[in-house]
Amino acid sequence: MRYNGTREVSEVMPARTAPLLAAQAVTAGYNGLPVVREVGVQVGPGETVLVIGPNGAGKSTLVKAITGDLPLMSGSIVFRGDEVGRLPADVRAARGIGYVPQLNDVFPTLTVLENLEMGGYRLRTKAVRARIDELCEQFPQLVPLRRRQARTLSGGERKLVAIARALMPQPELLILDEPTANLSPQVANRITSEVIAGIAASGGAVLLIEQRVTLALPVASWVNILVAGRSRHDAPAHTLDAEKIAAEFFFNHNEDEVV
Amino acid sequence: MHTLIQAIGFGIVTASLIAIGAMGFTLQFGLTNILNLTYGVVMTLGAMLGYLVDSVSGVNPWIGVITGGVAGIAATLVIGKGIFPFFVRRGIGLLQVVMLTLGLSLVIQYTIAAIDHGNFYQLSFFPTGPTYHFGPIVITGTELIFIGIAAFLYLSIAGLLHLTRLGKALRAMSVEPGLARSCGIPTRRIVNVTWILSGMLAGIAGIAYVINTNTVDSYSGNDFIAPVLAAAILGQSGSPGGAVVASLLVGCATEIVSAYGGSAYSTVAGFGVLLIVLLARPGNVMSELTKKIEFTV
Amino acid sequence: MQIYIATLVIYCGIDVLGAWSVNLQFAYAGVPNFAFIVFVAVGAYVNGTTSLGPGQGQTYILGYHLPFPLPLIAGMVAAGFVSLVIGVFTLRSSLRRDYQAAIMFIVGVIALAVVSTDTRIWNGSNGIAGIPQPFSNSFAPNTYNWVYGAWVWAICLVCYFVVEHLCRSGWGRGLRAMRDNEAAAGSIGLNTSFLRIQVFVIGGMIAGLSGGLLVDFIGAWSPSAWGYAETFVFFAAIIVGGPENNRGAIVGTILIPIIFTELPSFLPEIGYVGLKESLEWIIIGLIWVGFIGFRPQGILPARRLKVDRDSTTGWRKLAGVGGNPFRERRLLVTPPPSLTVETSAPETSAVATGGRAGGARDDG
Repeated sequence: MRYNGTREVSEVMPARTAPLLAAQAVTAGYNGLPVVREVGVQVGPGETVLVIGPNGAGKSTLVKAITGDLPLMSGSIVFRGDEVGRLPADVRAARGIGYVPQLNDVFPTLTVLENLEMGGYRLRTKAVRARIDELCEQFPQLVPLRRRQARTLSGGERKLVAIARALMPQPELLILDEPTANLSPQVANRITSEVIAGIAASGGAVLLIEQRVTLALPVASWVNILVAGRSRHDAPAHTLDAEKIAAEFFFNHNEDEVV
Repeated sequence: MHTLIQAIGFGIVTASLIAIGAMGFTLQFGLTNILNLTYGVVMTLGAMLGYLVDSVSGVNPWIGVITGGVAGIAATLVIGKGIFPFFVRRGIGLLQVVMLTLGLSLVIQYTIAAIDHGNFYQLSFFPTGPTYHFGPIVITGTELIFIGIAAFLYLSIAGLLHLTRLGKALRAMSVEPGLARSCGIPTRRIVNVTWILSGMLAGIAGIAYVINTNTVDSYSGNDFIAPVLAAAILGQSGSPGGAVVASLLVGCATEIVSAYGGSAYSTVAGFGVLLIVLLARPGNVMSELTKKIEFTV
Repeated sequence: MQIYIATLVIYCGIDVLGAWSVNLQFAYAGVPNFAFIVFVAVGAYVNGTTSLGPGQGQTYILGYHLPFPLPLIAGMVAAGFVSLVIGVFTLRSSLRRDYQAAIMFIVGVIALAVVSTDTRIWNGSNGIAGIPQPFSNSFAPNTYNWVYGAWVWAICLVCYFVVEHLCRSGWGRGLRAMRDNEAAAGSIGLNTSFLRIQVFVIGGMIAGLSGGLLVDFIGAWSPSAWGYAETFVFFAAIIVGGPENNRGAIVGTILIPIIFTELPSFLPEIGYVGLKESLEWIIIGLIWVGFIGFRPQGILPARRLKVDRDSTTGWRKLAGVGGNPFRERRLLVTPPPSLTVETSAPETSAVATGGRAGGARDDG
């Protein structure tokens, strides 16, 4: 199916749970040039929505528009019923949007413990201690790393700290931008199949940007395909075949599509 | 050997005076990424206002130190909250902001000169106190007190940065401001605290520095800022501990060269230390350098 | 009055040379030479001490008595040499540009301190005096200034052509590439360290020439003539006149060093003696801040370069956004059709690649 990017979600999609996050017709970019145009994404509570697409499709740009790191050129972002599209990033974070960026995901000169403390900055001191203990139970690999400076960690350890930091305030929605980038296959596999699947299993909502389709598809409940800044496909994960996605969606363009 | 140890003693004294200023500068620079050349002029303001209070009211000269600190805070807040954000919001570049601070320091310097007719002032009201001898090291009471002040300030700041939530947030913001925002860290409050802290240090450093040089006029800012800049660049940006170590290196090098080679080249020595360390250090990786440097105000 | 105008013409020419040097180093190449006046001073001192001859109650190095243009050339060479030494040690690729700026600032402060205190070098804070004016015997005092002015501007003419040619050549493009994105420039094979030293030395030599010409005219030179505020004057001339534009440098020189520093001597004294000078500097500083904030491209902006549409490589347009050199630059490059992976409209691919390939982002 080919879309030109702007259509009502409800008329084509099978019914989904009432969305926690509803981004509609989002247009955003850099220096006045739009990179994503009229893209819509929905994440319901307990859903794991996967956004995939080739390089340069605008996945990171979309995510930054949702988290507030990039201003919205047009469109709306509704989180838990409130329009947050005009709010600054730290306010959106306080409302329950957790974010693990692709790069700059930890504070390199701070220790792992301090990184977690920063993640829980808005919590009360006792709550911070309690959450750190909980996270150490959930991710026992963190325990021996607690006093290490974050920049001395390996890629996988670092990403784990980044995710744990984002989980500190128990966000309603966790957004991860290519968490397995630059990680070895085994570590990448563990991050997706253990960590992310675990979050989903415990009822958290996840918005996952990934390039490794074969790794990410099994843990997703919904897939949104982004190509050249537009939404190409939007369907439940089980309707898609990992092997065929690239061929089917990434390269064929509608020639008379309006740019 | 005797001369060397004595020189090191003088070096520690000089270092303590440089360190106060360097700590303030590196805190500010680490957070905001603005190489703020008005820092020297703020030091001058602290020194001159401290002198004013002391000579006019004739109270305890240490009140002058406090006045200097307050003056530094006020000046830094005006510049940091009033002027910088305007230009940063318009998208000023890395070198352009340094040039901006250069221009501002020129304006402030000559405004002071216009008001006070370019006079210079002698801070001779500070009692030097008794002179102590530790082996070959000769040191006065006042110098010891300033070493104490520098040490106290360092310990307080280090404690703030490593033991308090606010301090850790300051370190976090210095290194990853975007991520700090995602964590919900109150960036504005932290920026304000940084300006206040570094402004206080600048003001106190101004007075402290004049204890060494005895006279101050509106043009002293450049001489004040040179060793502070050297020490702050030598230590890592944002690290007060680095600033202290660097100040010790610069101070001791200056005094040792002064003892053996005459005072003309002592400043070159301090700078030479900076250059040697900079050259010897493994350079920044190109990828670090190409990362777009953002200003946090 | 006539003599005064002639003097202004001389100062203008000398300052224009300095402005071109700063333009080359800073506006074209992005080298923050905040110690600029030091190199002018080296040229002045060396020119002075090689034409003055030894002794005469002043202590200095190099007391020679060379015939006319030689001391000037010696000054240039000395300034170039000092630039080389300082540049090699302080301008490293591994340092952030603002660190480089701070270091150059410190160099300026230290050079001033050293020359002022060590009287063996160039007679300390008293400076040297009694430098003979070249070919002054042949002309009457009234006409001498005009003759000297013609001499200065003849040199300026030659220098203008040299500098313009350099700036428009591949070397000049290399400078701008280095300024805009040093890593990218390095990756296409430009030896940025060497390029930086080259521009520093060439600029230093022009500065030394400027200093030499000045001291030949005034006959004396001391540390009070080369404080850090003097470097500032030249940078202000560039900012106001238009960075990266050599004609703009002339405009800026006429405005700042000439009008702003010479004109006030015509005005009556305000308040106490010396207040006028302070006010002058305050106003220059405010103009500086104003231009940096509101008109960073100066009065005469940098000129756009257009590459021929029909050039054999097929590039359609290589344009710098000439209006505002201090803002983020976007290098809009449309690759030849054969390289496009996606067959969508060219605009989309430029948009998609523009952010990723990084274009040419101004990092300072």
